[in-house]
Amino acid sequence: MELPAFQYHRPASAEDAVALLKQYGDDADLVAGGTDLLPNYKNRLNNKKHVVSLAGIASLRELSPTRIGALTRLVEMERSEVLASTLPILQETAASISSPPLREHGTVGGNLMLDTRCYFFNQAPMWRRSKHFCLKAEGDQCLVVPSSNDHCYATYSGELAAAFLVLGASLDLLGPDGARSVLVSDFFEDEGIVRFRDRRPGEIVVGVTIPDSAQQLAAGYSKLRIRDSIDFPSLGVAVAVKTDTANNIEHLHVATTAMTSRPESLDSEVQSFVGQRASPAVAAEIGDAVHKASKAYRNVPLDPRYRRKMAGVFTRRLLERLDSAFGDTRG
Amino acid sequence: MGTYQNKRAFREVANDLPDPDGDRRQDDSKFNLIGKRTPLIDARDKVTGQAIYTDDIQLPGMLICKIFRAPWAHARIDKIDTSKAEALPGVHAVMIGTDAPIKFGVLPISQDETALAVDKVRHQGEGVFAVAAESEALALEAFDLVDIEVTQLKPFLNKKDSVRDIRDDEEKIHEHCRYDNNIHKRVEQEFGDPSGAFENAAYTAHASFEFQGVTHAFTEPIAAIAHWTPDERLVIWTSQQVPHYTHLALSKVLELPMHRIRVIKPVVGGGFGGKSDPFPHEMVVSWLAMKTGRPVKILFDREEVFFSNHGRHPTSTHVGMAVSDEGKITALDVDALIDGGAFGSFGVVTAYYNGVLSHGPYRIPSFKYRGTRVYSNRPVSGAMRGHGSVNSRLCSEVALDMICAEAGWDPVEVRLKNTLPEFTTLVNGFRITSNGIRECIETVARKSNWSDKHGKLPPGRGIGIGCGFYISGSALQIHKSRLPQSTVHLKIDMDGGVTIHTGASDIGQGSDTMAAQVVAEVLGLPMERMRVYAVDTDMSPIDLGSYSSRVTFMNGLAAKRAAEQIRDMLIEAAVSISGYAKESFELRDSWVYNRHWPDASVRYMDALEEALADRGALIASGSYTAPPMGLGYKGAGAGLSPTYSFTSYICELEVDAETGFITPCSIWAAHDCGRVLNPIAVEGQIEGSIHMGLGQVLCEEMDYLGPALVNGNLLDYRVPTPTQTPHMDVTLVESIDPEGPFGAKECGEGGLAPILPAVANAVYDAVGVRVKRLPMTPDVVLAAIERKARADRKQEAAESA
Repeated sequence: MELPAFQYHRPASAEDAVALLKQYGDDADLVAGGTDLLPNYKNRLNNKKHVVSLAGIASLRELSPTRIGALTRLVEMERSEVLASTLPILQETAASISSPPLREHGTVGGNLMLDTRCYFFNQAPMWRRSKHFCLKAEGDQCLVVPSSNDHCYATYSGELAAAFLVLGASLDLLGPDGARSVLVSDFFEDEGIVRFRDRRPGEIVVGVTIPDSAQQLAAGYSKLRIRDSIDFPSLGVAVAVKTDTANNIEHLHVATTAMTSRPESLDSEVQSFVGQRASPAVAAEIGDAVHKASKAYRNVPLDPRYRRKMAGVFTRRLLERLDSAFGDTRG
Repeated sequence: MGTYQNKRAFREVANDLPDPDGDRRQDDSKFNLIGKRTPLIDARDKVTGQAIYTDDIQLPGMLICKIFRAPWAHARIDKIDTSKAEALPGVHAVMIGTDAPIKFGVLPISQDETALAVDKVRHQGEGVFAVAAESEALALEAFDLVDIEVTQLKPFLNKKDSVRDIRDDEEKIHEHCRYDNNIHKRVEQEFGDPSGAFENAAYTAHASFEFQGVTHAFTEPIAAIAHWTPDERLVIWTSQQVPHYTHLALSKVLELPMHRIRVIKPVVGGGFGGKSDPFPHEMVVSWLAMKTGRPVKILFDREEVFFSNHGRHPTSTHVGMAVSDEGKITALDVDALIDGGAFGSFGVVTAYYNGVLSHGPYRIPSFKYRGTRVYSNRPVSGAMRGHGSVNSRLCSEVALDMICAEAGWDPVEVRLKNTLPEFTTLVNGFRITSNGIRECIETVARKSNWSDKHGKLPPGRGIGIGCGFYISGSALQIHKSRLPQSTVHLKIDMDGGVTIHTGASDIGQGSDTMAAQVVAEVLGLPMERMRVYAVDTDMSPIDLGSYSSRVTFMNGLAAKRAAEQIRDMLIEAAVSISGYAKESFELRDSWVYNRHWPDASVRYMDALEEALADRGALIASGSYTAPPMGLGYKGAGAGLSPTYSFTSYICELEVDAETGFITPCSIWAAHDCGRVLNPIAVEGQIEGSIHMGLGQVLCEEMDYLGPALVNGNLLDYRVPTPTQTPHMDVTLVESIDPEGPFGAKECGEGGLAPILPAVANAVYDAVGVRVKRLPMTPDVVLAAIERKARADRKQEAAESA
């Protein structure tokens, strides 16, 4: 299958990219590494006439423990020594994405802005035709929840977003009206087509800012997938925790991805544990709370019931791994 | 003596004769190349990107063909109007089903496919019409200009629905089904006294298993180019395992005599059985080339490869096993319901193989089998590596493990009690010759430290064994014919190179290298003098193709016999040069060597010069035909083979009882392939078979939502990655077959099946559950573990009450 025809733009600055996006409006897509967009284009999924590449914008390649440019390649994040000593969760998360060849191309911005995925959407044209198309492409009904004709249940599978959520990071946006910053927890919308809250025309993600305090947290990421490589997550869990010298929980953040149409913060469901003394039993309780609070859509591999259960198991195991106070004292 | 002016053409630098006791095999067999680690002769071409696959071929004026594939699973075509598409500039022809309505199929008894759907569509993804245009984009544009009206029919998507009589609101998938249902083939066999054996057994086990369909996932997508030449011959380049059957089918469908058709197989990037039928697209591009007078190419999208499928059948299998109190198997009962998809393909053979390939590697005195292959409105199932044997093998090996667990026996010891001896006959008439199964089992048990591990590993870690056997070529031909099953031609001219013409298809398994090695061995020449031409039906003698694990045995023997004729010609020449008796000569190290009087030895090029004098190129033809064998009952020919390979695997793995994930840690493999011709190639086949089998048992499945295949791509159809590949320890057991070339047998397929039960039995050893649905994805395993935990709690409660 050949790519459909489109006009390719390669601006040299972020400002030029914004101008092009403003000019072409809904007729343009952004591309960075292309590992998400181009397969979708081959399947003729919402192709646009213009594709604006960010690949030529050198200023978006910054990489420090407090600022990561959107064009940073996943492989650079994975191999970064400075991240290894400050925010190992980012290294761990990046290393879990897709496969080594794709991480050479895929970018931080691309992974954050990954299009939502669904069994009914990521298919060839003939296949989608056989189902009379879906809400997200050419159709008028969601095929995951057939009663829905105005809400898309496609699943968000970006992995870095979960890690950034538990670190309290924010996204740096540049648009026709200038720059602004939005907390990751305020950025995404649980709707597979809309995807973002308050997304403004022409706006692009130029980077991620991470608070200094995040480096005080013990944070990790765990991914559920059938194969150890290539697969998108059927669930991703990020946990960040801090205990004091008496093993009392000072900070606790939990986020999941690949369960709904956005990365989900479960902070409000686990806040009641802050102040409690960390122990194996509390780790199990936190896991149960995450299990109970999670919801999952039925359109990626492995059924929702199993994925919710694993959200609890992965949370508990991450806590055990990240802080010995949660670990089983027997062993 | 020479008649050429430049004698140096004949007198290449030859080393002095080597020490005859030098680099020789320890078992006293004096081979130069056989048994040596020999890189495949096409390896450099492939790794440097120079190998020419079908899609690499460009011809002047070539058109691109795209096939419009049905979005309906079962539908009557009421109308197709292609006139608007044909009028689109750049479109040269549009073909519909009625343009070439003659039915074909790989088996003469099951001719039920057409080039494109005629009158009705039988599965989603079936071709409905085809466009030949100047570009892919134009062909796709033409799709939207064809006007089609259909009446959708109720699809058959469940095996059980295909067995029952159709209802008033239903229509049979194929008119030709004998009864009012969708059954394609029923097989019933019984030997000995199974019901008596079950009655008198000390132990019995019964279990039902569900197998999802799996597909080959070969690297190179399906591709073909057809060209109607100015002298009105059809030439087709096609990625095929069996060019001969394509040749036959093209002749039938296009109503052209065979001599006006030439089938060429370029380099093929994997097949595993998925390129062994004559295919609709081969008919389509040929018809379009004849219609337009221009070369027409088709290259499938990966999704189309999945629609073409021909993979392993989804199957529901029930197995029963009876064992005496001494641990001897007394009966095996197999009942398989097999989903064939929309067409016949190799399915009649599959229906037999699910039963008959359960007759070994143990002595089974009483045997009962019922196999039913049905049609459904799904992409067609067909032959896939280990054809027909794999699912039933898991069932019987797990049943044996269940009995061992119940009786408290060691599964290795029980297997050793039951193994077939060499040179024996089975109840169904199979003839077993060489047999290394005991050595296979003993080897893997020793190397894995089995006796220290089975039943003794910590919770969550387990070890299991699986064994198997497989045909080394089908003794009976699919098409009744008095031709040999394989023929090889050789030609040697004054350049001293050896041209090997073979019809065997190298599909990546290394058959070209095998043929070259066999000929080089017989002629005592280095590999660099060999050149293999395969397959071009204008030049290659007929070979029945690369399936049923037949090539090394049958084509190897044909190559060897041809080479032996050339050997005799060279020895005669040496006799005439030296005057010494022919009995004293042998060919080795590029010499016609005289064993008794080394000074009378003649260099290869000198002997060749003498042999060519007044005759020209040396040519020879060798062939193989299987000897008569087997009994006379209906279906007795299924599974008959001149010899069988034997295999035993042990797998050690971990199961995460909280997530259900299975992680294979180590696999010890022993495979009896007779004489090992090329250890690199055989080890590669065994490792590849293990990897492929792990895919079926752990993560691969054709996943359907109603009639629609959900995962028709290599992201969602999950072939295991290198990160999931465990440590593999491969031992090659050489039973030295009395009939095979230098004693060799098959190694390409038999190594797949035993890994499935080795994993299943290890999972039981690790966490005490029998997972009866494949693939054993973590959710399935966890559900089984939780079921067992609930049952255990219930039993505890009952006991304490």
